[in-house]
Amino acid sequence: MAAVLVWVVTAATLALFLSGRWWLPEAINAQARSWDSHFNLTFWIMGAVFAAAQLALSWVVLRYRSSGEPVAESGSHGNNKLELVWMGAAAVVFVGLSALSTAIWAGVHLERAPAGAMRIEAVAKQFAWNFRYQGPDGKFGRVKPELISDANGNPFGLDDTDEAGRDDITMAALRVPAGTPVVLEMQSRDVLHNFFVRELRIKQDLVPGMRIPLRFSADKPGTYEVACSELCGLGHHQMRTQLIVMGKEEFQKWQQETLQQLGVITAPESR
Amino acid sequence: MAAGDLAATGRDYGSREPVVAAPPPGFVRRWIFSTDHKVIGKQYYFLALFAAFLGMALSLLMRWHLIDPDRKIAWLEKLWPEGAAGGIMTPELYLSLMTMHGTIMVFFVLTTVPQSGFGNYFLPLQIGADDMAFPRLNMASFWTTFVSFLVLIAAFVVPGGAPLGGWTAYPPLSGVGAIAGPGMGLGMDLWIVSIALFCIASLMGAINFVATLVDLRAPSLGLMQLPLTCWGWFTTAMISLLAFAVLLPGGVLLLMDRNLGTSFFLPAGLVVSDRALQHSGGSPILWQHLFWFFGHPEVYIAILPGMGFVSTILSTFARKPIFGYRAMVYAMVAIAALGFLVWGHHMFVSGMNPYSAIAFSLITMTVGVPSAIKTFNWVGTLWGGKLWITTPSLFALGFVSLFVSGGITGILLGQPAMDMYFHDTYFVVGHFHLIMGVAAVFAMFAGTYYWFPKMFGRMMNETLGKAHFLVTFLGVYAIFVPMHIAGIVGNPRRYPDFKEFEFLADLKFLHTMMTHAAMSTAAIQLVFLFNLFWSMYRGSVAPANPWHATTREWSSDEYE
Amino acid sequence: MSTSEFQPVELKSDVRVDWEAKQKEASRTGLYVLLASILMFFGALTSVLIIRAGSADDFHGVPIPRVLWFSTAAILASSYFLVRNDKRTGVVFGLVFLAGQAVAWVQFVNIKGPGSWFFWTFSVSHAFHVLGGFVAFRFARFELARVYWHFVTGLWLYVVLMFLIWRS
Repeated sequence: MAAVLVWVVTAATLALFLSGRWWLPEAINAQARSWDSHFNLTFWIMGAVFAAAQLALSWVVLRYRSSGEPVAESGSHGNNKLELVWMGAAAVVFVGLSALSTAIWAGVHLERAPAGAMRIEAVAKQFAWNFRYQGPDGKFGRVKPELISDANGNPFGLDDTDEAGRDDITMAALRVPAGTPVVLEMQSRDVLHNFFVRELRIKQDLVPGMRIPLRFSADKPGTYEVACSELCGLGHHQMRTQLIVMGKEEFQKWQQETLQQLGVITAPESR
Repeated sequence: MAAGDLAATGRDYGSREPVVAAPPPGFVRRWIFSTDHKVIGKQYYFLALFAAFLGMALSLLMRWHLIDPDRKIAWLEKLWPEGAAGGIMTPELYLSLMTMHGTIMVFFVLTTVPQSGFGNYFLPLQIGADDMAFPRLNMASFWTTFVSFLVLIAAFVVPGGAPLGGWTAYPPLSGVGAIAGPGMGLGMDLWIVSIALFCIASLMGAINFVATLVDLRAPSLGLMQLPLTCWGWFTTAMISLLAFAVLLPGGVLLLMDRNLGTSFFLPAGLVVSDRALQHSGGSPILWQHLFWFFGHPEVYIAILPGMGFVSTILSTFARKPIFGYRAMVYAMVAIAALGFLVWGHHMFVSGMNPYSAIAFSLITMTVGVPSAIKTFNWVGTLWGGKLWITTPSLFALGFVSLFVSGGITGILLGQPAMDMYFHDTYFVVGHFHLIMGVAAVFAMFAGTYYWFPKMFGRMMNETLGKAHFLVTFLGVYAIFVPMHIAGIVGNPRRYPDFKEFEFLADLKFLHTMMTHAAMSTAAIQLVFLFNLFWSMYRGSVAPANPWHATTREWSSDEYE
Repeated sequence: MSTSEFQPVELKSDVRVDWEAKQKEASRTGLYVLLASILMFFGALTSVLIIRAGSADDFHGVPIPRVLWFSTAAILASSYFLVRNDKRTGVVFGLVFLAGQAVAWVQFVNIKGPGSWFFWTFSVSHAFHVLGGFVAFRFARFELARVYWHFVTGLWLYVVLMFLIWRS
């Protein structure tokens, strides 16, 4: 019985994984594609070890089972050489996989952002996101925590007296130009939150009291869902925003229009 | 010599008169003031049994809610007039059930049964000691655990209800008080007090275990002759000793942040529910370091005794000595030691130094090596044996299967780059339930069916036991494998419903499957419960050594 | 390997066991194990102190109340008398130590800021362990209780060292 049960769960598990019915969403940049290829490598090794171990277990059960109360039996009670070989193999595979994936980790967290990267500020709160863009002056305006007020439409606490802040655009969704390096400077003003874009294969906590930069560039235009992935309270499951990747020209057009609405720049004369 | 003759071995009391093992008479003296290790072991066992069924009921409520969040359940309103007004479960009620499920299961089941329950009962018997080294401390330890449990349960009935911050209680959510949500006021305080008490109880227990194992072994019983069960309890006690001693100050400091206006974990500039808070300079990540420095070893607290049970049980039923005994001991010690160096792998996305993530990852991967050795040796123990299929041996085999299935995904999660996608998804939920939850529970079931004859003098029903195994084994795979798939799609955990996100709509089938599997698995546990209590009074009378085991508890004349 | 190896570990019943001695050894082991976990407790507090002091600019040390030198002398004296097997005088000096701590706490009530929180957590946690020492003198064997007491004295010197490093 035990052997058959192990077969059943092994086969069902493999079938569910290999069906492809539910899987990763499409990767939208090179970073995510290299993530996918390392995931696949790990996944196949895991799958092989899983299947081999379950089959070995069910095989010994099938081969050496006995009916009824048995008597004492002799058998090997150890094999140090085999043990060492097994240990070495496991160590090489496990540690090797981790070492291989270091490049992907470094690509997100250790490399410096290119000089021209676009800086966007993200501030999370229970249970909403806000993003702030520098205006044409290339500066973020000054903020004061005591000015933060959702009721007054000032989730960042922008200080009106600071010239640099006049042209800052604040938005509830994150719009980025395709193929452009972006540095998202993330903060939280109350509890832990997490910025998770499946298609980019990245996830990063937003920690109150810290300003954490997250670097990425999204290549494929489209709208992608951003889900809060660190428990932040009773509205955690509703803390949603979108990453909207736009063509470069489309993005510039949007930026111009928004600045016009803010009254920062005037609309060009129509000819 | 036939295996059946083993029971004749007598006890070794040396110069001392054998002590008559009859428990103290009278209910109060026996169940309230008993310092007898067997009674205390049973007290722990039954406390945890109650906790396990309570925790399971909470998980069923959650699963039932997840497949139809708008369902009206009239009686729910009677239990939680605010949390389920109109019979519909609110998100805050869901999250509080989740928090309590995790806390109850981790502390009062996984930590309690294998170590304090079976350990107290069988450690002295297996090493030829009369009792634990400090019987009164043992009693104090149980009652502290009991009070800790009551304090935790009290969180359900105080205004605001139980906390919703998860069993990890990350600040600032857990640190700013009632403004963070229902249950984050008094409920959260009770949670912290309960955990602090539990820490103290576990420390008392650990001191007892270590002293007993080091000094009260029968004279001819060397450390390398101990049954692997004893090594499981030994390594677990060492871990408890060091890990709970770190969680305790963590809890105290969190309590101070909440009630005395300090800022250990709370930074400046917090604005919660439109209120600016007067904290400054604390670090939320600091709590995570303290918590996981305890929390990761805690995983091994749950599983190491189980590894011991399974080793002994497989050896007994395969009629073979343990394959690679020394390697098994070294592997346990290595797991226990390395377990203290890998806590950072819970924090890859927390904002901690990205270089330290790489170091934590490499050490994490090395923990896989002793784990692989153990699996190899379990298969080796069965190899060439004559495997007698019984309920305890089935559950032990199930443990090995689940240990592999749950452990293997750790290779993925232990890589920071991969964890960037999987952190806090259902993939993680599936992973830790398989390895820490269900595998450990299978070891408990194996232990229960195996030692029941010694604990109660009767046999459990084998047919019911095998049915219990069959459904449970299939059931837990059917619950937790789909969770991994949902995780691959990116499904975040700790969501009371999935309505807000388009990409989650596609997972309805998987979640429905998990819920139905969970209901079936839970239903069969009632058969176990029936078998347990029925067999206590009506089971066939057990022979002294029904499994022809070779460890000493079976030749002891101490019966409860 | 032969069949007979799958047998129980036979325990020789003719060995004379001094169970009383074993129990004494167990108490000693239990004590040292307890001390290890207390070290972990204070180690955790210390790492919180180091991180908290280093990571935020709001941290400033606090003045050390004079009376702490008095209580330090008292606890050293109590250890000295215990070395000389004078339990009574040792315990009295232990009480004097606690009285000194109480005075320090009263003086400290109005001092605010992160430095003061650490003063409170360290000194109050330590005081609980001192109380544990009195319990030990009442119930445990003298030589074990004395080891514990010396440990608590050492712990206090360590706590004072922390205060000195982070004093204002």
